Amino acid sequence: MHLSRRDMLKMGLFGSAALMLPAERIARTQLAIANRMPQSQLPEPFTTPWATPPVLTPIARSATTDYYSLSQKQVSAQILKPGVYTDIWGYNGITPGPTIRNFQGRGAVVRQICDLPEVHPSQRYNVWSSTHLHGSCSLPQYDGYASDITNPGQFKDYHYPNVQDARTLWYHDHGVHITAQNAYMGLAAQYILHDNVELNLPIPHGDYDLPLILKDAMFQQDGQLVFDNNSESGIYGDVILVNGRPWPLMEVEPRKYRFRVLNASVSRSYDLALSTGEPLTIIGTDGGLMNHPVESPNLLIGMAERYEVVIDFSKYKPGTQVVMQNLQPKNNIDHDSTNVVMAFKVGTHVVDPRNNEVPMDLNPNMKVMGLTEADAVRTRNFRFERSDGHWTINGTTWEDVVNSDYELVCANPGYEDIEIWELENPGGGWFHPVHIHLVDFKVLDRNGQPPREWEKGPKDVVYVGENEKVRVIMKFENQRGKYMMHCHNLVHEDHDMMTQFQVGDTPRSLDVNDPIKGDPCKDNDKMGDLFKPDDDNSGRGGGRRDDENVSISVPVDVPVAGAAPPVSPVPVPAPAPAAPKPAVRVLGSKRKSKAKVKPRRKVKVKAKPKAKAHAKPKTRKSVVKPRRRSKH
Amino acid sequence: MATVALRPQASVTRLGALTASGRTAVAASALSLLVAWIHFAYVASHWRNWWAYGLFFLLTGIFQGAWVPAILRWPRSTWVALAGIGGNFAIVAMYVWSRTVGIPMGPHWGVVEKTGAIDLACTAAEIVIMGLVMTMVGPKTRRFIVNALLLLGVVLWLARLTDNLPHY
Repeated sequence: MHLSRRDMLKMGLFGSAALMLPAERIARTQLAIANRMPQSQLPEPFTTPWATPPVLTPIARSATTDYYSLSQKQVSAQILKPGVYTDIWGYNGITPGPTIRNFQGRGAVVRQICDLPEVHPSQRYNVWSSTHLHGSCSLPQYDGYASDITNPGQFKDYHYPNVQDARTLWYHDHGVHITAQNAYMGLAAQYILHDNVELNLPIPHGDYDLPLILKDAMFQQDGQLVFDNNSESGIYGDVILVNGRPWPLMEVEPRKYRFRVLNASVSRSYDLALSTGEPLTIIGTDGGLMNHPVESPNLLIGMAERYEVVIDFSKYKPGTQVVMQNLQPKNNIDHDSTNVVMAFKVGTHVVDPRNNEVPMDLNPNMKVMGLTEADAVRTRNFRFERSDGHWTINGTTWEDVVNSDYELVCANPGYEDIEIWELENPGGGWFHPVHIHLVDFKVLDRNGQPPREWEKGPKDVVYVGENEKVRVIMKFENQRGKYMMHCHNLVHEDHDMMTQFQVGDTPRSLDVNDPIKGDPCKDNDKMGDLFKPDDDNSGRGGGRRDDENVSISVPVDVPVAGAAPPVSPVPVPAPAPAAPKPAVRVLGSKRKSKAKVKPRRKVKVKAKPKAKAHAKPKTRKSVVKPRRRSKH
Repeated sequence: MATVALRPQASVTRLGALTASGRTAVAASALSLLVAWIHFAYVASHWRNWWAYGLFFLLTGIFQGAWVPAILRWPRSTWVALAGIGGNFAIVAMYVWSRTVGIPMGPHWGVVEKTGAIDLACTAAEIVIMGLVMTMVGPKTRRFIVNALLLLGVVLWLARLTDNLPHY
């Protein structure tokens, strides 16, 4: 017996569908790469003018809290050149999103409304978001826990305590498994926290204190972004964007400028240096100002790291063009155009000569930088490695956390414990910028050698290069609960190089600050006013009812905002005079505030939106993710 | 040396003596062993993601491996042939579903899996197995199956061409 030609044709129709439909996905990616905009059509470096993201204005302000509202949405933006448009996702439709500036001690409530399309326009994955304020000791349910997702048509009010020292934070997407794509589309922005110590220093402020947000991208000829995660190793572009502009040119006055450099790239690290050979003066790291400034001819910056860098342009003659170069550190995919970042053109006169110094003593606060090895109660070791086709931490992945119903933790430090963590990358061929949520840490050493000069400040991300072991020391304070640790190569993170630790030992069933159930997102049709004057009780307002049993945790010794007014022209919202002490309770204590509060009731845990936040709400058809290369 | 040279010869001789259905069974068996081996190779990595994924791969491999002695022993059995067609069809269907609509179960419910060269080759082999085994069933049954597959193929292509596949 044999199949007739007709039978074979009939079967062929089924067979072709079974093979071609899946194959079309590969072809689409390859086609996009092949259709990449050639170098000759990219804008000439240093022809696009410099720009900075706008500062977000609060929609309401109370005595203790600022209220903001942001909408995550897709827009078509002109990034490369006139007439070429790129679909991006931005907070309020811009990328980088608007900068939020706040003052230590003033709480903030940020409403994040997910107005993104339900399905990604080219990658065809189901969309959700989770917003992480990177560098903030937020409560677990406001920390942008990866599996605490908000779907299109939903919103979530994030409460931020802002109790830490002045620093450069940033808010970005952290949605489980799709963080790389979401961030690559543009969901990232700076959040700057000021304090009196910083504002009283004669360092550059105001118009001379500027964000410098680095990101790389690759574009198709029609302007759309190319997505290629290079077999889950990383997304690397051939265009360097600074504050969303390709290789911009900035006109500067011949004086000192302070740049808050943030590497918001998905996978690329940079080694920054000036074409003149002059050193960079680094005054701040992820967790704020360093004790003393350091000078370095170059600055290696991994993804999510932030450095405050002062460049003194008074050294140059008017008309000089100073190029910020990228020395192209190893284990990135480089292109001809990725060796430069931006340029500065030095002008002739200074408009404001004030705050034009870099004092030797910057930050007297020795909190984390004062920790010594002798303070540590234990040491833990974490290996970041590729294993069996997965990016793992000590052999485990975020899948393991999900499969354990979010119970699995890699560490369980006690509240206020001081620990040393050894972060080890035993593999060659890649580096891992490791981010530990909640805490600031001090880098003790790298392969037994002292940390790099620019790492001698409070950090929350550390660059762990190939075959390196980096030891960091930290104190687990400010909050209790579950927090993530992961590689900030977002492709690695999405493919599960992420785990969690728990501060304290509250069982999940009793944890009112559970990262998923503590304060889940809500549907937009249930959106009430973000701020009602009569709701205001010290940072707890903003879409929350008084009887909900979740509070912002603020240490009792937090300096009260308004104690010293800003001394510079920094556009910081003026602290309210005579602000009352925050009417909140310290997490873990029974002490109640003196403020009038309505009786509390137990938190109602909504089962629907995110019981398996990682998977997907039952109300919609399916999730998403270009994932592991495997068969079924 | 002599032994090594004789073995293939003997094998060829035996194959030559086989009936048409016997030859078809041998070819289908070889392919089935290959795809079973591929599925076994991926059990561990899928088990890591979720135990049921690993179990699915394990059962798939066991089915495809166990079907081999059955079809060699009973090459004229319609039931064995139908099991081969039905089983491989189910596996191919699951594959297409996971690459177009999304994984239909587990923590990755709805996640559209990435397509790779190995899994495409494996699926092609499974379709060839179905085609081979189709020659071993009666004309009425064959016509029914072929027409059902035709209908399914038309539906899939129509859905694609009219942009009605959820993630395309």
